[in-house]
Amino acid sequence: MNSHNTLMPKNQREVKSLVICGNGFNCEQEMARAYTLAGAAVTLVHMNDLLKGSTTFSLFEFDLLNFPGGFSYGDELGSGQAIANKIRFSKRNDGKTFYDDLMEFITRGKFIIGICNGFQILVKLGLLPNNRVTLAHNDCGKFIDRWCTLKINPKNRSPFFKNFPENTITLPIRHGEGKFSTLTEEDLLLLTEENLHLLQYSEGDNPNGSALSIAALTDPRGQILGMMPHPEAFLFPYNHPAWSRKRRDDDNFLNTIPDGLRFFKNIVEHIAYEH
Amino acid sequence: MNTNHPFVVLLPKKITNTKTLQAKLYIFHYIIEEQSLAEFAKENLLNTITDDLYINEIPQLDYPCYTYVSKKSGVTDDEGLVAQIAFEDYFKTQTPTTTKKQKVYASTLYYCSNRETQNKVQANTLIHHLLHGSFPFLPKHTLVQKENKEDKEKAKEKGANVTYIDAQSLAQNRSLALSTEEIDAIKNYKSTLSDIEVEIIAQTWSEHCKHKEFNAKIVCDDSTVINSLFKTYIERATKTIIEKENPSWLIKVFSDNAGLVQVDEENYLSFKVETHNTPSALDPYGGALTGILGVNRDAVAVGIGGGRPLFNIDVLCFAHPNYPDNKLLPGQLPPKQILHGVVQGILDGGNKMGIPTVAGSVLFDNRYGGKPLVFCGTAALMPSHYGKKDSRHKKISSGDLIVMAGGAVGLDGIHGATVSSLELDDETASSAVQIGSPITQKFLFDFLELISQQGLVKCSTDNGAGGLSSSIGELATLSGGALVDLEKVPLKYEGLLPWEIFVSESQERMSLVVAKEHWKTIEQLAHHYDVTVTAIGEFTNDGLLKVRWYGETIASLDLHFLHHGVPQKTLHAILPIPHYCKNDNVILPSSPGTMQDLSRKLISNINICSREEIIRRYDHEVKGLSVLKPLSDSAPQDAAVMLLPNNKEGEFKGIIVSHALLPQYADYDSYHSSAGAFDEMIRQAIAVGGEISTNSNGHLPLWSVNDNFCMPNVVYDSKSNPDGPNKLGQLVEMCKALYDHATFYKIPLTSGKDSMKNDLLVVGDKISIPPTVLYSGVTLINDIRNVVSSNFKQSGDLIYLLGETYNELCGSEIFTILQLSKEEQQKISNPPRVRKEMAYPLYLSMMSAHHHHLLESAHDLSQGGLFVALAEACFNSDCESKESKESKSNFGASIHLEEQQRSAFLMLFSESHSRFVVSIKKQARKQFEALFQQRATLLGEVTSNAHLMITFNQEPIINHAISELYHEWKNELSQYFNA
Repeated sequence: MNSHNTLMPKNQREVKSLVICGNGFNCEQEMARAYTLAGAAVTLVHMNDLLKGSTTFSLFEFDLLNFPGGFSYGDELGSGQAIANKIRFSKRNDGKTFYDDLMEFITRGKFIIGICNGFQILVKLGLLPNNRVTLAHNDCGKFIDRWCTLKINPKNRSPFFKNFPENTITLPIRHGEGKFSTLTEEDLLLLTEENLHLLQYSEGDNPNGSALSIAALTDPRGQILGMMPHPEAFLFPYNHPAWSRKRRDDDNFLNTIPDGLRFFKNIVEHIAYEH
Repeated sequence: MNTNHPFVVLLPKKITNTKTLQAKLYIFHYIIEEQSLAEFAKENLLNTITDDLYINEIPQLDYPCYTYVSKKSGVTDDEGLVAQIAFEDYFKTQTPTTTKKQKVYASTLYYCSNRETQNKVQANTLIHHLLHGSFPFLPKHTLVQKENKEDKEKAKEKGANVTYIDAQSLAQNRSLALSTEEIDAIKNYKSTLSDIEVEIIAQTWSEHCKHKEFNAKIVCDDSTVINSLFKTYIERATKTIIEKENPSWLIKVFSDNAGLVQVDEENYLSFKVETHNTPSALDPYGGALTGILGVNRDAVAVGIGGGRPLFNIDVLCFAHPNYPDNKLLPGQLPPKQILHGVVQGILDGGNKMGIPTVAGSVLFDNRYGGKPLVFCGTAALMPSHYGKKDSRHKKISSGDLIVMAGGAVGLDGIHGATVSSLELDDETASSAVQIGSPITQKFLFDFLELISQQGLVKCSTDNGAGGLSSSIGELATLSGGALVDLEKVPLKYEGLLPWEIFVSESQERMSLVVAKEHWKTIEQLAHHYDVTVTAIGEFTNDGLLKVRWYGETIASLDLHFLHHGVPQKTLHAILPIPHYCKNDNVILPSSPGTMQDLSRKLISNINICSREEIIRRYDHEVKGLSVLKPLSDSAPQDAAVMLLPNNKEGEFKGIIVSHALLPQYADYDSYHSSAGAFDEMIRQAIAVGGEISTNSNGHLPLWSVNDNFCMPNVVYDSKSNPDGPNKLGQLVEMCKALYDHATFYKIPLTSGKDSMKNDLLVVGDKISIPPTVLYSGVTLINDIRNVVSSNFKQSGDLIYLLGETYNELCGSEIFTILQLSKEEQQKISNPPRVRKEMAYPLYLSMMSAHHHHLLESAHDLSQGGLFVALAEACFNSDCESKESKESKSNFGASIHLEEQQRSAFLMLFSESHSRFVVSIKKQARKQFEALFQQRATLLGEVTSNAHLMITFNQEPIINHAISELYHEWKNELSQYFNA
């Protein structure tokens, strides 16, 4: 399941990215493709290898851990809940859980990214930022697949959202449980004062009823990132729903790096050069 | 057993003044202290932001009454199962995966404000227990009655659980769908049979599995005799193409679970379209869910298997969702409920498996009120080689193990194959319904991919209709025999009879063929990845299908008899004589109203309006490969286009997926309803940039097509089906059209499926579907960057109509709106006919136009004709502007029709085939007109004024603001989804 990329730019250290698969995740292939196109070395690892332990790899060799989109355990018990339970309570022979590994991973200053179902998992684990927030069923009561334009909060600490024109990003959302909610109004206030909110649906276009139209969060250090929209679904300009009209209107459209790919390139560049 | 078990209640926090409130219950068949359960539930089940938690207590709110919905025993309960996994992890009470008996059950309690809201709770009593009452309430959970500890001991007793009978009496009691001739054949083979033998034969010989009507001898009224429609038309079409062209990419046709073609050096693409009509009529959600999951398994289990699903398509035929409840017959579900359930089933199946639903159709016609049609299709990519082994082959040797993988077996789905072959009546067994488990299947597919790549599995097949009996019975023919030890099959609960275990259609199971030396490794891997695998027997070469129960042989059937012993049916057909009128123009019996009003009615017609309400519920972009989506740029597209995932750097190879069905024309000319659907499938692909054979350079473009015939009963019965032979005659004509067009265009059929008894029979009443054939095609496109979408791109571009328009309005949407009877329609117009000799050169010119990048947009004309195509081409995502009616930066079209002989009505609404609306840049005009010559008619141009304006012989007849037109088109279907 390994796919290593050899097209590494010079003078850059190799960025190693782990993408989790199995147990109902289903966006791992495009997630791996995204890192490959962005110049990182990607390894797909089955969730059970992380939960039950495996001798074939070491988690701490990796710079980044990715929870991709999908329906882990079919989203039964609420999206991401079943995997969160597994991560916290399923013990290996050495008595440790994968949650212990995650804590160690974070302590070592590495990055964790969760997209859609991955975001839901990080939230249910209480890592974004605590267990006073959730992603509930969309207000419209149904699953939605459509493209959105989102505002980037320039004050957020995530280093991965540079070079987006006008501080906006255009990506598809595909979820039934994406309504960002907090336990109290105060929780929401605290969170925004700390600028933990990273992306917001543009005005008048809140697809799921999220509080303050929030679509992505980070932890206070910008090390753990969760987002509802799918950057891995916009790696080619041809993924854009209106590409064939836009190329007529804008000669440069097909030569511009798609927003999704730019996000992954930012990640790889940041880790390779600055981190 | 009927005891109170500990339970957990999750109650929504925000109790607003709603008429119903929905609480979630989990019932635990564990002995556990209240405090421990509370601690577990708080950590694992409760979402503190949205819910409150109660243990062993049902809070009584301001609601007087309740409705409690729990699943019947053995019905898939993934929610309960996942809660159980969490419970086992939390308390470390791991039960071995090989005996995954359910111990946690999820259910729903609806708090209701009155009787009326109680009755509104949607549940299906075939799979749910439904309890209405007044508070207080305590949940009781009853286990399946069959559970009995002594059963296992009893089962081992010699002779227990198997009865020996003569076939005749059994056939009537158990809805086995065997005919007198078939029962005679069985009697000639064996005088006494065990019940399991009878069941195996009945299942193997079912219409669903043996396609007896497609293989029947048909005597037509013109005294021609057709020996099997399948062999004569479908299979022969593909054989003819192979003989003449021998395409190297055609890998496997008709002989495996799906058709197989080679899309690049390293990959095969499998493609299969199935129907799941009867189950969807009984339980729309479960029927559609198991339909889509089932066809996933077909696409994955070709050759060795272990491929990765690439896309799903779903095509649905329903009665109108506004069908009045008081007109429903007993046993007929409200069409709106079917629509909701089926859509939910497809989205759960596709979304949870991570397979994009890239294309589909929904067709409304009240004749689908008895049996809805639910077509589900899946394509998968499989490596062409595993190591040095070509993956196309299924190779089995005597001594290889039979391994069952996936879910356990219960009573659900018993007799699915035989019931599908019966007309529905009010006594149809409810056990024919199953609910799928996407989680189980996703785990299974990931696992199968892994073991296939590691060379650990010899081949695999789906356990679909007919269960183990079918999958093993078929695989056994490859080695020459099989021996099954049935007591090894893992069960959901004890107490199933041996025959029930063997024919059960419990979902998410596959049969794998494993060489003995790899069994241990497979077992270990399966344990690690939480997949259940069980070796239940081995393949032999003694020519027999043998089944043992604790060592005793309870079935032994000759494979040759089983697969070739079914007597050929003889059926009679009366061939239809289509009625054609000679008028070139259409003269309506009365004034139809203004073009302005008619065109507005048409755009919001139920069969024309947007499917957005459904499309956006399906994840149509997962995998990140979509190039043309069902609603790219908010406009409906002719075909889906996807990138292939294995492209090398700089490669942009993709696939085009198109499909069509036109049952509305079948009553006028069944030949041309089939021909028209085939033509539409081709022209959709041609519109976006697909290719067909040019007959010049020896290169035959890759196509893989599935045919799916769905018919009403075609067998004559003087009382219940006097016109059976007429319907069979229609089917014959449809098959002839398939042959003529497939061979003409050199487009091979690779797989397909028929469904033959789509009628609802209730005392004195009958609803039968119109003869329906769906063609679904996949073709390759070398460079997706050249794809052309359906909508206009810039004002100033010129708009052309390509192809010819005839007086062809019979069965059209506009005639439906005018409510003209069949006779009235035939008097003044004709059904659309396919003129393939005319269409072919036009398609070649389209290919040339694509090649020279002349086209800015291309949209094929279909239902609703020219007007609808023009309107749809004016739509784009700028129409979404929230200030709804105020158009933003979008544009419109100015159209000038000049016509001396025929009316504007005909020009705008005729549904003649093989036509396109295209737009081009002004500077391309010369080259474009030189290419198309008289086949192209200049209609007008794209305007910056966001109106669709049409004049007829200089008289303005239509002027719609695009934003208004767009919203009428967009919002029509939504009303049937909002409560």
